[in-house]
Amino acid sequence: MSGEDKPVFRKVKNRFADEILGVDDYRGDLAITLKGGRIVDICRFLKNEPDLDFKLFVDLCGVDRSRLPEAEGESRFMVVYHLYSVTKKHRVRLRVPVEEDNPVLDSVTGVWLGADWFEREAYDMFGIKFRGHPNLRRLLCHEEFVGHPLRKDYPVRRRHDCTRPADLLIDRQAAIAESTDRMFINVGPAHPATHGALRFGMEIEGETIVDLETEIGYLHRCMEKLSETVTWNKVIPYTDRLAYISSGLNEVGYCMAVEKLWGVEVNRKCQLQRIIVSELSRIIDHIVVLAAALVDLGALTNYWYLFRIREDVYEFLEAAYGGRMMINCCRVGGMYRDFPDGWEKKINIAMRNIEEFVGDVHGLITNNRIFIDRTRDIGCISGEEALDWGWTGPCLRAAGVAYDIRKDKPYYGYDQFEWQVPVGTKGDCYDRYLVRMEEMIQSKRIVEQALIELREYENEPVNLDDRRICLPPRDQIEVDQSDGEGKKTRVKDPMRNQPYDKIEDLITHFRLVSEGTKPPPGEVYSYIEGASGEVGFYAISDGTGYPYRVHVRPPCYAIFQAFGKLMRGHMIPDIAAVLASINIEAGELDR
Amino acid sequence: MHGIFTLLATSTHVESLDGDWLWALIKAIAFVGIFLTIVPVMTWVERRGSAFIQDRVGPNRITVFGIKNAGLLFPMADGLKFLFKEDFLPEKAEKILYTLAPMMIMIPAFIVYAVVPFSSPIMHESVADDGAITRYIFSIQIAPNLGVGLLFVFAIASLGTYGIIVGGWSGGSKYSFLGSMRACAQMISYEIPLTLSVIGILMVYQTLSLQGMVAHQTGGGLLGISWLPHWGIFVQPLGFILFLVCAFAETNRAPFDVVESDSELVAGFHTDYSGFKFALFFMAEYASMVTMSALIVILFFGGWHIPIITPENPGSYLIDWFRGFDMSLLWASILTTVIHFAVFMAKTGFFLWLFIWVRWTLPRFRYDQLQALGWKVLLPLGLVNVAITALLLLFYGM
Amino acid sequence: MISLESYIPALAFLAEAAADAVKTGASEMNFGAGDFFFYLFAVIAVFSAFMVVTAESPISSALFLVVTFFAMAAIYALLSAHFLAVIQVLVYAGAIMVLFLFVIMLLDLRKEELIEKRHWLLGAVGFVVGIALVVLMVASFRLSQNVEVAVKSGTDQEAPDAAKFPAIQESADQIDGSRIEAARFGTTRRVSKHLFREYLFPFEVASLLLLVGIIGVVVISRRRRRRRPPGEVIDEEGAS
Repeated sequence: MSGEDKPVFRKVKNRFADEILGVDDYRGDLAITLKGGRIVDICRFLKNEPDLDFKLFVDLCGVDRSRLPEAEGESRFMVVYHLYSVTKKHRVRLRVPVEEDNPVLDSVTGVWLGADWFEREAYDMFGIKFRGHPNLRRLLCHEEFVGHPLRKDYPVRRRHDCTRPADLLIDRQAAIAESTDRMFINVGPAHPATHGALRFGMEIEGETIVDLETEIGYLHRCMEKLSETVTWNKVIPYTDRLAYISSGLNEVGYCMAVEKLWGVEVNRKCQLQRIIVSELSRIIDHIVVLAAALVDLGALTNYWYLFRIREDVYEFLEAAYGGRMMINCCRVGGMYRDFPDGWEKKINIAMRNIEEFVGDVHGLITNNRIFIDRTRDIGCISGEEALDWGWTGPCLRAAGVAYDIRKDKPYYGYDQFEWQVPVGTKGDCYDRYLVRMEEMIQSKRIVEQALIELREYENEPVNLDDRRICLPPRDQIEVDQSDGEGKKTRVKDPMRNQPYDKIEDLITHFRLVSEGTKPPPGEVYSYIEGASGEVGFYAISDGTGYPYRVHVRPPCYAIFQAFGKLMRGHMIPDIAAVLASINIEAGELDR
Repeated sequence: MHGIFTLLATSTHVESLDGDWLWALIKAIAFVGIFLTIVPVMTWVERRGSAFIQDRVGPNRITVFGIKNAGLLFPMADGLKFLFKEDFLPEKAEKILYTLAPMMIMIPAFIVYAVVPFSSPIMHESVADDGAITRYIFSIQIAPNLGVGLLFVFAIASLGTYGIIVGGWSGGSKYSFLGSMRACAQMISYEIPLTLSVIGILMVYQTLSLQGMVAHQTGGGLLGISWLPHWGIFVQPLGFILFLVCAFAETNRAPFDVVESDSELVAGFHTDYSGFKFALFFMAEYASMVTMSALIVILFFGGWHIPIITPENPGSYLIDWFRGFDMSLLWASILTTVIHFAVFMAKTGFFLWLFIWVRWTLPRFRYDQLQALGWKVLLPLGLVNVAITALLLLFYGM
Repeated sequence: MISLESYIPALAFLAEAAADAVKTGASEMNFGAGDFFFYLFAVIAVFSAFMVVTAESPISSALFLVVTFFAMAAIYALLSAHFLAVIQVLVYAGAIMVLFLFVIMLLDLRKEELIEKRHWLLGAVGFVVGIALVVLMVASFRLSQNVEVAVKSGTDQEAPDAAKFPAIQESADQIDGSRIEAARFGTTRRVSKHLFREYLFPFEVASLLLLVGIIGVVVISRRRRRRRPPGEVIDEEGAS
């Protein structure tokens, strides 16, 4: 439980010994607690020191520790930074205590551009002010909102009426009104290109975008606050609704975080099933992104070709878990249930169709001159800048940085499979398109290999045999199924379980469902490769059945904050191309 | 030289019914009726066609007394829907212009049909005692004697721009305003290569009359090959490609539909329109598609001409063939006219399908790329085409 | 190779038929359909020209000007000058006025902005020009009456004015000539023959002037605005 000997800590200690308040290595997460005074210097050091090289700004969030038993008498707030080095492949968590009566901290937006929205969010949710932030306004909550919702003393059920649309580009309005060739245009929250409720205002000259500012939060339901009101397992449906087109991935990420809090690893069979669900989710996520992007460029037919595959995948997910989009398939320590009969056939249909329809889309579009003209050199970003903004996933890889968590920190044995990470060169829309197209094929390869391995575990249980975490196993009720010709066979009905025959099991079941699983107190950050980048869950347990704090690190949040800068100098039609290519899912963006 | 023209040239005297105002009016009503019917059929073809291309079923749910009709009644339902929808007038709209705009786009789209020769003329003959043959002629064309036919088409079609501009401007919305600005620039830019692309073929045909152009293309034996008709596509391949591209741009169809591109400008110049006003814009788009298809057929595919491929007698024509059955000229020419009309519509139908096919295949241009294509590629190519045609005509004759 | 001559008889027939139509249409009644349409379009032209000047919104003004052009084109067509009519619509109504509208919309001129106090000199100049126009109009009326007289008297006696007005001589010849000629008076062929044979030099000079104009516009507008590569941050002063 000590990170004293970790090289990252030693480096920091050599330089800033006076600033360090403590160090921790709980479950392998190096966490350094620092004083707030020289945070910008420390961050700059962490970023620029060649041996540390923390170029990727992963996450920043606040924590209200006022109800945490072990934090009694300490500062109320904690600002938590998560950083990663793509070259050195190491991570660090910085924890900076902030006093309640003077919640001010220096902004690190000067070090990483990506800190921008994360600091605004921390301000919005906790009221922590960041000195030197260029635009410290509310982001997820409305400007008329009163109070800071993630503070523990803010009641969950309080409501505010917010009536006025937020002002965008306030400091530009006067100039626009004066100018004869400039115009202010509002896009969204309901506009065909936004694919969800988000809004931006832009200043245009002719059709060229001079400046663009975004407003998000239309779908904000404060999922992190809601999570604190339910047991650990009941958070899973909330995670479904983050990146709602690849809900399986969020669930896997969340369950991994809780399992990390427990310090347990799920069965291999469960791992393989999670891998299959993850990769299928990744495929359908990419399908939706690509299809929507192509529709926005006027190539509607590709949408239908791609959505055929999505339908095949949904057929399987529906058979397995009952839901299509919100599958709610994972449980802490296992899965909701085993794959149903005939699952292999359904997946194979999907796998076969991927090849065919992706090939069709390649044939229709990839070498199409109009498409290339529309996407080449549009929305370019360099690898370095992308890291600085906190970009991850296909968008980062398209910019030439081969950072894929499945390769760099393989979980669930991703390294045992044979597959490759596609990387782009220019970081433009075309590269992002190609990277996603190729990732679908690579995901298909992973699924196929996982299928073969999964056959070996046919009769083994999916869930952990641990009564603190998982429900006791039950058999399914057998029912008669008629094949239509009078012949009847006995099959297991996946919807109905046998009753428990032991009182211990019944009591365990009752306690786990009503009180929830109770991971030991501690904090972890767990992350997986989501469809559009690193999906991270920062979870704090206080030893009760309810999460003390669950923070989601949504990949598209980091990506979308660069949008305004990305669009400057482009034309209005490019908005559709860029917005679709960076994959904004409002459910995840607004949480 | 088509049999019909040989007949006319050998007449002693020709009487025409074409100057009659009443007949012109009847024909006008008939053709407008026909093309008003084509528009809903086209929407059906567009929907079913796109479904076919996109591997799905398409609209098929309307049944009448339990009879399935492959969704053929959807256009009717659409029409009713448009009629009963609220006719929305935006607060900032300029009321008169806002109401006039759909008409401004619709009327030119239909006036253009005045000069389109849909089929060969119907003829009747009477032989006088002195052997002089008087032939009566009735053209399947509203205004057959307008010598400037093609220019008339361009002139009227260019007026359609006003509907778009005024429609986009008068709504008072920024999206539709941007759409109409784009429309303005696009239509003017593409009118130039469009006009240039036909100059080559005008030099070959030496006439502006659409009927004259069809007459020119009815000859066979191009390049010494007996069965090869003298169609514009073989005479002016480059001109054809240029015209085709510009036709797509002038009708604002994909991939040139930046004027109403849904992902950027919501619906472009008609964002604010609803109800039947919107339907008029919608219909005008299809009407101008029909015009452009008809023009392509007339200019480059011989109009109503059928290349009859009989190796023994390459010069034979339908009307001569019918007359060979001892038929009177009137009946022979009526039959010919009907068949020619069907052929003309079939050819036009093919190009209408091409419009749909392309729309569901290609992505959309960006607005500046579209302009670059028009000015930097099509315009120079059009000039080159004119120069080449002029040189060929000068040295070889055609 | 198919020779051009082979289908010329057919076309000649078409022209003849047209001439027939014109003739029957015109001679049947005193106040023929042609007359009716002339007065109709004349009224439209004058009314819309008046509205161009008096309309409040510049957009309406421009649209009324389009109507004027259109009515003019219709009158040309009634005078058998089909080519001129079509060109009038194509160039003026279809292209130039579209550009005018474009500019008006671009500058977003609203009703009130145009009504500004005018200098008294402007009024005076307007008055003088108006008088001049009226004089010109009356003069041209008288002139056209002379022409009519000359045409009417052309066959009876030596036309005294024929030497002064070569064009009259020609039109007199035409009326004397075949009906086909009459129908062909405004055709593309006839106009282009005039344009490219007799008036080739003025034509070329005019096109040269237009070229100069185009180059001038390009030069001026290029200097005003420079293209920006995407991604560049645009500052305040960049545009103006």
